[in-house]
Amino acid sequence: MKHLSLNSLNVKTGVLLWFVVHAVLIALGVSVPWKMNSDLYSILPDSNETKNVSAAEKTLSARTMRNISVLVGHENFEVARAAAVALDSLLKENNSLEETRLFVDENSLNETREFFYKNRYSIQGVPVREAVAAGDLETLKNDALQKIYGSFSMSDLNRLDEDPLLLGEASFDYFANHSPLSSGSFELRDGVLAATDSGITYVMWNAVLSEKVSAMASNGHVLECLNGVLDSLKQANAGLVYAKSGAMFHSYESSNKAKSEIAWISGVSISLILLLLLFVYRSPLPIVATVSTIALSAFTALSFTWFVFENIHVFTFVFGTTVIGVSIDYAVHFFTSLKSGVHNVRSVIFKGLLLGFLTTELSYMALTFTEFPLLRQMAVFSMVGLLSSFLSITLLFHAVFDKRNQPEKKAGAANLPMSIPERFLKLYSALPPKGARLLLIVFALALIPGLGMLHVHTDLESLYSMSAESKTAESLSARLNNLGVSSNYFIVEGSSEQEVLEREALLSARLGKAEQDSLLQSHLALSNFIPSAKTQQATSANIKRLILDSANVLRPSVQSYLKEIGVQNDSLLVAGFSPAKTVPASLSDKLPSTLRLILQMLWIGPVETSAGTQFYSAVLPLHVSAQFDAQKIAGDMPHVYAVNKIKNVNASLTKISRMSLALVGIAYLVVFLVLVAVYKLSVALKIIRTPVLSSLFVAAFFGYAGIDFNFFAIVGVILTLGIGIDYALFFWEGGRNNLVTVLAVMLSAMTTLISFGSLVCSAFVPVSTFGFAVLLGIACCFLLSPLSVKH
Amino acid sequence: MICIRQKFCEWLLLPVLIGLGVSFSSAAVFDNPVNEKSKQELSQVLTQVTSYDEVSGDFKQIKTIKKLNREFVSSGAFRISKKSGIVWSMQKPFVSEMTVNDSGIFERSANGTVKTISTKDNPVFAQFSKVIQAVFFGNLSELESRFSLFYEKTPNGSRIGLVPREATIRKVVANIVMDMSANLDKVVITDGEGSPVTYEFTNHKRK
Repeated sequence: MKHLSLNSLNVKTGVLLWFVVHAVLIALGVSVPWKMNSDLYSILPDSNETKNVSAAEKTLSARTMRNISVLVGHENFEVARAAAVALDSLLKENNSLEETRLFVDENSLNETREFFYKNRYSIQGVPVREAVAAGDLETLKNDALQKIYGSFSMSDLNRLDEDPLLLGEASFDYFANHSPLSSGSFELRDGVLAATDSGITYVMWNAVLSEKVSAMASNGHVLECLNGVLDSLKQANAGLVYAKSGAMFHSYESSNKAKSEIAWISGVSISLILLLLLFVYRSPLPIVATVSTIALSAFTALSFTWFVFENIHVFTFVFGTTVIGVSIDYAVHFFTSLKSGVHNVRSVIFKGLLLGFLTTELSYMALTFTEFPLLRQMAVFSMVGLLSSFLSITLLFHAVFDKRNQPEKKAGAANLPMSIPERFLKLYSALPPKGARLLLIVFALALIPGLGMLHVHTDLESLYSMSAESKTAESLSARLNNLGVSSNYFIVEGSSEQEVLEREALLSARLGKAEQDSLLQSHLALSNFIPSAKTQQATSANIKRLILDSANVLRPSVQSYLKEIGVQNDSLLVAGFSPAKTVPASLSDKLPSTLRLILQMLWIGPVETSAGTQFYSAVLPLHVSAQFDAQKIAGDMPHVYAVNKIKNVNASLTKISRMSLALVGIAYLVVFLVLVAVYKLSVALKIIRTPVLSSLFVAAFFGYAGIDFNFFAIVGVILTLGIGIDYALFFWEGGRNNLVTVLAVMLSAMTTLISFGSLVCSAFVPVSTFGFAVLLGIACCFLLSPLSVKH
Repeated sequence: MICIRQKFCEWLLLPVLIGLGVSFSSAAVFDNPVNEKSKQELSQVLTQVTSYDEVSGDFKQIKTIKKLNREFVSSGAFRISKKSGIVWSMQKPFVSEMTVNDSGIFERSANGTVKTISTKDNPVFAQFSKVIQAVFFGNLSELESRFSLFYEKTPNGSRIGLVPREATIRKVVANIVMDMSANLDKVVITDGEGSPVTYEFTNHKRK
């Protein structure tokens, strides 16, 4: 290691190398268009169950996410309605909204009825389909007579001659009865939908956000505009209340909160770090140089990651800034040594720095093998950022700051606050080697019960808590809509539109049986309203067979029925069976608005997959019981996938967490072998035990505290393993009594503790969990690393 | 998704309107919108007509399909009870029964099959049930919230006209006219195409 190539590079070559590497990495990034992804759904990993339909699921989720709803309420309906009308008129022209819905279209009812009448021989619900398949004319006759003579019947009898069995009405009834939306409390009032709850009448307003609208808060965001309008309306109308519902509101509010939180957390931590560095170095130069290095690292990392992944998720950038924590350590080591009077700093710190760099890179590299795109992006970002920092310190800083030709001063210059590391070292000096070993053994043993109690599990729901206002709004919306959508649903796949509808029908039949077993109340499937062409053709053929004989003449039983209800001219009925009038309806037909909405909700459509273009739709079980098992229902049905987004993501994150730990474990084994090669077995063990014990300490702490050791805590541990080994390495390289090394490690640890420790204050559980894990791990590394030193 | 509910609600509200019925096809009543003075009279009439715990009698229903120039006549018995709800028992041309109460709507057809819509599972039908009962039990405010009200005195008693407030519903049910003397005597529900359904109530027995 004494003749490491970078260390022996001359200044000019070094600077050239530094420049070329950065230029290439940045140029690659600049050569591609820069796209920032802020779609929250896209960062979630795919589970085994949904991997095959991942793209379809994401399309559906993204679409659902774009739907928002606001209930505008007041004791007086007129006030609530007027406010809702004002809201609609102020927002309906907004470019970020694809559409707004407040008023009920007065033609929709007739339009829907007309559609089902037109397709009466093709589109029928299950009871009529079964009756005609069984040749049961009697049931159809009795149902029609009930509609003709019965009280409170709403059937349209004006086309009795064309449709004496009222099959158009039967089809329309089936649609109305099986549309799951009958369960809501809303009713038509003065052209809008209104529902009353606890003395307040709420008017419903809906909107669909355009695809370009980000889930992250930003200036001029349409939800900011919506909030402004609602607040103004509230001020103008005393007693006005509103309830906002939709995932986009939560994303917006969370990110808005995160923005201000990040601003004050980073502001405080950066200020503290700068003050600390200023206190130690008493000069702005190291600070300016360090900040410049970090900025360059981040930019280089960003460019290259963009080049590799084509777009970067905003979370990658946020978590990737952890690279700052590591980069700052390298700079701190350089300037502490420089300030202490060392003239060729690089030659002194190079070995420790290189080993620290390689071990950290290995940890990050391991993460690139995970199946989680976000983690891979973070790993690449951090690897490149770290490389940039390493090169800047060892090549550029060496060229600019190292006074290579001047005589060396005595180490431990008085212009550094050495009394602090001196006091720190005294604590460890009191410990005899045997005592230190005993302490480590006791420490390790104490971790074992905690590790036994460890629960590796990620539960997204426990990581996010809605504000009280949002919770009340969602609860009100759910109560008034009473739709009964659960977190379980199905995605059906097929190579064509028709294949999807056919497979859906099989699933629907199975769900129908589950409804009889009270496992759910109902379900929503597109094929219930527009069956496959095959089913429609079969229905049409069965109805024709029931009414006409092989010579296309009315059967006697039908003739007798027509006489009973006074139909004189049977030619209209016969004419209805002409081929032109029995063409199966398809999803691409001009559908009535009621069906179009169901189509928009359930039909995912063609999606490009590795197997080519596939078609997808969603089937929603409604009001499911605790015993409902979507997996079991979909179990042996090919191309039917049970989806439970939260459950699947939780399982995936837990699996990815375990896999990440295993990969980092393997990386550590490689690190260990490198250390054994560089040093010897006993030294390698001494160095590596610090980060390993610290990581186990974090895990044991979570175990003792009964906190789930979730994905975010595990990422924190991985970072601990990456950073923590540097302290042990620097201590080993610097020697126990080297106060400059102690000061440098102290400074490194302090800056890391400040930046990650401040994250503990975050209201966002994932961020605070991550910060807490790093805080514990780094603190432990710092305290244990002096035990890994040369005597 | 919400809009589907909107449409569905519209559809579901239609029977509510029909259920309100007692009628006539006389249009003269619609020249007399309810004002503060006539509202009081209307309220008194409704209170008087519905001042019973239970009323039963016979009904005759005539559905006239103008376009086909055809009539469908059915008849049977009705029972309206403040305790157990409203029961329509059709006897001719075949036997069937419909019950509307707080628990739901139950329809037994000629072949004996029973269709049930529980109000617990279906709040919109709960409203339907509530409105029908409001009519027969004289709940003026419930009617007022859904219809424009018209009222006039007739030689035999009073006539009430109801026009749905909602344009969507008016396309299917244009208006309802209720004739009442000591009891509810007749209801005419006219659809969007002008075809009336007439209900005639006779042989009232009050308890």
